[in-house]
Amino acid sequence: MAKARVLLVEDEPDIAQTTKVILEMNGYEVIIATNGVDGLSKVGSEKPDIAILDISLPEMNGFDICRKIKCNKNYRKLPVIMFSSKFQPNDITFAKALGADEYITKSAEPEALISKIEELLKKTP
Amino acid sequence: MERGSVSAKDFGEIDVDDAGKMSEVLGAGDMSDGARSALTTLCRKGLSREMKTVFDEIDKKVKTVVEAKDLQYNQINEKYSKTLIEKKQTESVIKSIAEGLVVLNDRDEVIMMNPAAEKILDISMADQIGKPVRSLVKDEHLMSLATGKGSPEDTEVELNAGSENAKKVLRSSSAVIQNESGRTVGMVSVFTDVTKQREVEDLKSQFISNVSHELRTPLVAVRNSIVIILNEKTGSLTEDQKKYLLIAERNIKQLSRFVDDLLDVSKMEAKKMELHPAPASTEVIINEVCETLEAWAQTKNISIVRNVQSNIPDIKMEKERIVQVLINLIGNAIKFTPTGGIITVEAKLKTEEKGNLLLVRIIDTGPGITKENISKLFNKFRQVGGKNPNDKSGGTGLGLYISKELIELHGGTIYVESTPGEGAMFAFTLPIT
Repeated sequence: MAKARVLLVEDEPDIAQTTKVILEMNGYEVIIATNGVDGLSKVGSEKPDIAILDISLPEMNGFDICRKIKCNKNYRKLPVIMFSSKFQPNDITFAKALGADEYITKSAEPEALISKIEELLKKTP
Repeated sequence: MERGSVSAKDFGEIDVDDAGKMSEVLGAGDMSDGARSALTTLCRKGLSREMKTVFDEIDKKVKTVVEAKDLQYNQINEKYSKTLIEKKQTESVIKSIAEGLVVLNDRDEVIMMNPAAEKILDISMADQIGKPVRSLVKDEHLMSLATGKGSPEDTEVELNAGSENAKKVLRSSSAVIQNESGRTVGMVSVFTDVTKQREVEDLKSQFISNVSHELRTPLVAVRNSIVIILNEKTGSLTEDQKKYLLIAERNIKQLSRFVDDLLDVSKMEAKKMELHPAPASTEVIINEVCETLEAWAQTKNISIVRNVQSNIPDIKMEKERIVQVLINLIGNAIKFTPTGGIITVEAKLKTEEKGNLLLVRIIDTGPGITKENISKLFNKFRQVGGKNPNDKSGGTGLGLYISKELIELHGGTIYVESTPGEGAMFAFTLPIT
């Protein structure tokens, strides 16, 4: 079976790089985008199986990317995990309202992120 | 007429017949005119003396009464001026305090109001005394403050100040005034403008949130890097390298948890904690937590016994948050239970008047907690150590506070029972809806 492709949109280089390696250790292929616009264009060009979006990003924030994915009939089935280090009280509600499938804080154990990815990929045909 | 100089003359001549009657009384029978006249004169003189004594007596009494009254009057006057001074002092104190003060009678009419109250309530006190407060204060929120009808305890009210665009936050506390027989005769309300204070609190929460963010990003990067090296992605490791990397990893996790706790507290303080409940299995959660903590318990040779009732339905809860509470409670039990002890984790259904509850109990064989400490246990930043002052139990003192808030947000309750020397039992309930 081909490796699942994960699009990670993250502007903090240290987080992006280390998360990429951890995901690769767990058998995923990882594509990185470092800003919102790049992230959205890679949804189209790289055809990922799942997207992990940081919230505060330059050019276009994670919520906007999520909204654009979920409003587009070609991409709305792409599972989206919001990945935030800033835990704003209303973030989860907002993310769910925009159609995000999961919300996870960056400080959660890497295993938690992996298990959420696995769960979502199992659900999508 | 001058008092004390009354003479018989002033009463006119004595009637001759009266003199006759007098002589009869004296048993003199018929008298000659001379004798009669002499007797009359005698009577007059006697009467005059008699009268003088009586008048002197009266005079004395009047004098005493007048003097007593004068004294009384002076005393009253003195008391009055004293009271007046005291009243003025009290008034100037009330006038000068920054807190607004309103006194109402039992018909909600204003009896007294200080300038701070006028300013806060935005009304002028001139000719308002005696008017019902309802006619003065338009805002319903303010009404509840001024009349203390909102709640007997401290109430906080947020107002949109009309002229300025700023929000105004008022805090009030009210008390009923009772007369000697215990009847309510009025109400006194004190309110404080806490807008500035609230601003500072908000700023503090925002600051903690920002700092946590700034702390989290590097922590995550460090932790991820350690995970990568530990997984020998960068080459194989010697046993020593592994040992020290594991120490680093454990400490990074501890630090991350602390940052998370701080962030939780700042959200709780700002009343911005949100829950996202979904049905979850109690048994799965308890197993998960116990397995996570197993390794730690084993280092102290502590066994964790699970006793979960089999027919517990899935309960609506935010799984991560209940896991957090269980980690806090079971983690504390491990921390305080001496080597070789036993921790029992129980979960069962309980039927109460209000409906079914899930009851989770964590029972340890640790040193127990004194009554005095139990009351402080759930306070923020409060660390209740063991008997030994050198007991380094560690922790931030936030865990139990956060657990209490989380359980209460779920609509449950958390409590502890303990007898020193006989271990402790921490329990929480969750409603089953």
